Amino acid sequence: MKIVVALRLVPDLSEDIEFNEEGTGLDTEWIDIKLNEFDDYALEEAILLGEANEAEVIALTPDVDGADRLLRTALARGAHKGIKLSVGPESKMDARVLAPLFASAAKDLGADLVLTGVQSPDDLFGPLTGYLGASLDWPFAGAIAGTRIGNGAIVALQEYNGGHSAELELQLPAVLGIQAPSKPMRYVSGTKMREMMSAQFVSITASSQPGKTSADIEEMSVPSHQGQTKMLSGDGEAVATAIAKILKDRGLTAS
Amino acid sequence: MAVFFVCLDTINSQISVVSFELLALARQLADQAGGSVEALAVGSVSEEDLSGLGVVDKLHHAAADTDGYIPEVYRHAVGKVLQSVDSVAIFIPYSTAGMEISSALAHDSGRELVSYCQMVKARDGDFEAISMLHASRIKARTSAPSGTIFAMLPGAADADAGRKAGATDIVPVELGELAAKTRIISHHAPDPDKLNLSKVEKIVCVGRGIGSKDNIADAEELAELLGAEIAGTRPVIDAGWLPKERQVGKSGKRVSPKLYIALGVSGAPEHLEGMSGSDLIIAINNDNSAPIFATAHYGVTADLFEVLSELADALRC
Repeated sequence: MKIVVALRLVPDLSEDIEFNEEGTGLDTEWIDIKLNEFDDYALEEAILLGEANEAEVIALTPDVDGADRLLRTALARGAHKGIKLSVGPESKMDARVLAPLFASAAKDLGADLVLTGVQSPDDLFGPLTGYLGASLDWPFAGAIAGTRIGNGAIVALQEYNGGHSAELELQLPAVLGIQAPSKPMRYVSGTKMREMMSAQFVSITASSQPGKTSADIEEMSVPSHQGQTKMLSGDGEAVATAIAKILKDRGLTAS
Repeated sequence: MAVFFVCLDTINSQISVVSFELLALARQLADQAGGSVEALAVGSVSEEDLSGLGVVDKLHHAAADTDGYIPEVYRHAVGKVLQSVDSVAIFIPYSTAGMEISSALAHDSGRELVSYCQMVKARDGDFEAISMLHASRIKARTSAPSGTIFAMLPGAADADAGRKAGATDIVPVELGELAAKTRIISHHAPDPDKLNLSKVEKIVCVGRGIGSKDNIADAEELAELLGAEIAGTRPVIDAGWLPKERQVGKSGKRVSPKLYIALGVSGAPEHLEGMSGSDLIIAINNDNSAPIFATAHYGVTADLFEVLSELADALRC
């Protein structure tokens, strides 16, 4: 069995946010990148499935700056192989653009199962799972928080609002969007990471053309988050005193 | 006549709150344009909810022969209906179903798709959408042509305005032979014997900013002093720091307590969906740009452990 996990690098917005001159996108020149959190979960789930079923796990990511580092991390975590996916001169890298490339590469690699993150924080034009499922015309399901192989199919726990969930059985080949791995993320030692430092990766060209991006972005900005919020200032003691007073005035301290 | 189309989201035959919000939005836009509202429901819908679809001019109902949501069935149903409905806008909740169906539909139909939408309004025959990206740290304004699919975050309109008693024209959708490759093995509802956060009056919620499982003890001490229950955001639950029944948010519990203290919670839309109706929200976070501050009534930008320690002392007095 072969599991392909589609990984994407996304901007790390924990530092200052800068926009391009047109104000229609992030200025990516000075911005750090990181693995999309949900793709990280997908990688973990793929490795768990691989370990439980002696399946081969292939990490697949667009061939952009940072791809080698990402794939080395994936190998250190337990993936068997890392492959870069050539995206040519394509500058837009949203899910709709990438889906046909990931889909054809997964097919060419003989994937029985494709895992990816349920969403990405920059999925302005829609999440990857549905695009991949429809592109491949394979059964698909997102918001998955646990998987196992059973009766030659993949069994996946799909979560809904309000704490509801259902176990789905999807015939292989299939596509899953992972929301959370079955087990907490594993720790990867520095020694393991250093062992992978010299790993090299091939870059493959997909047999499909990139998808067409969606609507036009007119403006990107940082929203104001403090419209009606009353901010309490002062040192720890001052704000604690203020909060305690608010709670006491409203009768919200313990009775 | 311009049709504003809503894909309804149902769980256990109940139409979701966000679906009613989208019906209100669609009705508002349709009234402005002199258009109509049509909607699609897949699977069974309760009589109570069916009788509350008075704002819908036509309901396409695919009474699928499945006991629950199957992505392939919904994809097939919405694709089939939209072949014969000339929609100027299609609204889908950004839920489990809506997320995956929206992009599958965009692929199948070639329509534009804009996600994470907080607001959509008509503009010169097209639409303008405001989306919240990167867990609400970035706002994007897009221009979307007629026919676009909008995957909508909660809060786009008042759900009560979308729930109106009255009859709607119900059109059955014949799904024909569909050899679905997905089947439902089992359903799981929240365990009624476990803690139900929806019913508690005070909640102290920890987010990723709490740092580690060990640090939750400080928040638990505050909860105990207040007579509150401890809760967590999705990453805290996924890390195994708190049990699943203590999760607040989109895939956890939707709560509206008298008091909600958010400790190290950034305020991703998926979390806000579950707690924004709380009577009093106090947020403590060391990041002054955290989106939680858009929803909180009181905010503190500080080291939360320092505040927690001082607050515990103050409450003991």
